[in-house]
Amino acid sequence: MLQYALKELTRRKSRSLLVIFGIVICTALLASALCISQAMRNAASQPFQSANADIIIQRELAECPFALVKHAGKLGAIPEESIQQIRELPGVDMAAGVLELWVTSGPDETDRAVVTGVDPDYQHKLGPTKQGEDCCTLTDHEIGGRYLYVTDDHTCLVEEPYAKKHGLKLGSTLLLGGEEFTVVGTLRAAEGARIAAGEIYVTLRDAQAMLGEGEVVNAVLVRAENQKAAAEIEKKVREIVKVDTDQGERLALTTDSNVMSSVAGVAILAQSANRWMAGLVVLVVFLLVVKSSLSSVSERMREIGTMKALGWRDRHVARLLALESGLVGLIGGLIGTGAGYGAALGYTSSTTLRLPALLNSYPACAKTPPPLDMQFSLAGCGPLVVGAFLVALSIGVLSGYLAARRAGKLPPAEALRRV
Amino acid sequence: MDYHVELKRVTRVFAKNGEQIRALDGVDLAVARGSWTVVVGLSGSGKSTMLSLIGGLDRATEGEVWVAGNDLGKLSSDALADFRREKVGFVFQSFNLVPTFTALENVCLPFVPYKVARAQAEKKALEVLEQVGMLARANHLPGELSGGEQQRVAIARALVNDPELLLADEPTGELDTRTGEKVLELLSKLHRERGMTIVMTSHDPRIAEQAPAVVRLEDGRVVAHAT
Repeated sequence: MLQYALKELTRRKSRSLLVIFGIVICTALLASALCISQAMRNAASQPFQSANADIIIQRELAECPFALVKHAGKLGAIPEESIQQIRELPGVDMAAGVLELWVTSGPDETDRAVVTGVDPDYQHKLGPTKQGEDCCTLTDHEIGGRYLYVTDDHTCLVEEPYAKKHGLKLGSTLLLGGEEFTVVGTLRAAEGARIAAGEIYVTLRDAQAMLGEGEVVNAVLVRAENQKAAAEIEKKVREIVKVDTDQGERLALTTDSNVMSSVAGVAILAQSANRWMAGLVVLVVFLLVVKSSLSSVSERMREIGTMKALGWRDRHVARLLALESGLVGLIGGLIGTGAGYGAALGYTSSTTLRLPALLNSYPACAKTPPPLDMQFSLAGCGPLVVGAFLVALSIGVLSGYLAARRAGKLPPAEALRRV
Repeated sequence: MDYHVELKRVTRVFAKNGEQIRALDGVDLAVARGSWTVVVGLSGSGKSTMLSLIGGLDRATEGEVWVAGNDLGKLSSDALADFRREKVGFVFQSFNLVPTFTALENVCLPFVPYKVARAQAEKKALEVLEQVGMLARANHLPGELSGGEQQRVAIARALVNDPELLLADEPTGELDTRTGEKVLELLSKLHRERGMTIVMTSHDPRIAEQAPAVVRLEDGRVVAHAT
């Protein structure tokens, strides 16, 4: 029967190719729309996964003039006591503050580095120095490199590119804001955007001392117990961290679900339109394929009548027509999903999204490139591609079923008479 | 008398544009096993409808159609399909061959949906193609065959299941006189060799003259039955 079905598809080459083309287009659109959506979700969640955080809390101010040591970019101070209040909120797994600073480094005041003060109690599990393959590892651990201790005074961790650029290694010293710091470890970070990442890390206490604004941080990273809790925490945080809106201040609460809107507003719009369009095309193609299958039944009345006269049961005829449509769906689906995946791959490799500067403020004169490029990944796209393929196959099978039902119900004498 | 086919007060009504058309109107007919009956009549007299009812392609509106001991009106759709496959061979006026299939593949068509080994089906098909003198053309497409050859292939297809009843609807209708005669000779030879019952329709008076039994239909009624 398969041979029969294949010959029939070959016989009606133009029609078959047209239907396959329609299915290819709709499947490709669907697969690419789903995969690009997934890639964007992956890109948005990657910096948060890297920091192991769900919410980033910051005060956004007008940028102040450069000094020896200043808050990075437009960040404003948040009292450290707020962190303890946030930790006590229901649904909070953990919370830690960081103090991201722009600091003059070296004897020349035009050399500036991004220095992030981190809480030694949380540096391994939350924030820009989180230990793990998706964030950071010590490159000099075997020769004594280490993370920061609570008791450290004027010690620092340096990121590998910065260390290489400045010839720093374990035990080297460098001037930060006019004070000497000793390198206790070198961090190698995974590629991709990272929240509150610096070029150099010092203890929060040292950073606060350098800034001279007391016990403050300028970003709080919160790990929620679950997504539902995250939404509740966001509401409560607004009561804890106060901002003076009259002064143009803004409380910035960033999560992976809202980060995309700020970095890829148009892309998201296009992506959303693409999804709708894909849905519409699926519907239109489905109707066209159904129409084509039903027309095929009308055109093949004599053949169907003959088959029945030769002893084919109704379900045999139905099976043949369903098989033909299924084959069309299979071929169209395979080509379409391949094309859709390719399109998604092409789109994601040619598009760059950058983390909002507030989440990682590097000065324009930074010596190392800021880790702002969000990494598109098609991880998780496989099931979506399979889903798109199944949609294509369903279009074929369902239209085949409708045609088959019609052909199956056709009395043989009527089929022969209608010729 | 062992009647192979019996029609008892058979009426077939079609509805067309709100109008009731009586294609057959209370027809009684008995066809003996192994006989050759030709149904003649003008176009629209009900010949093809009668053949469809005998072959289980259609159901009577009223009356009973008995073939080989089966009351066709009581058979399910599947049972009717099995009946056609096992007991009836059809030959159509316009051959009804699948154009993309070779002669051999066309003859194998009745086996396609059933679990018959391909080699076995092809062996049987080649046998009947040989019987109808088309063995040499087994691998030709219908488009490469003449009308007479196509009808021979169609006859081979009708015979491949060894039916006991052959129904031929105007089998020479689309053939020239000489080719038509050859087809009739072939059917006559197969009738003798296989001893099967043949019921065919024709509007050609010469065929009726040569036929052993003739049923004449007019407006859905049997007006003459000569043997």
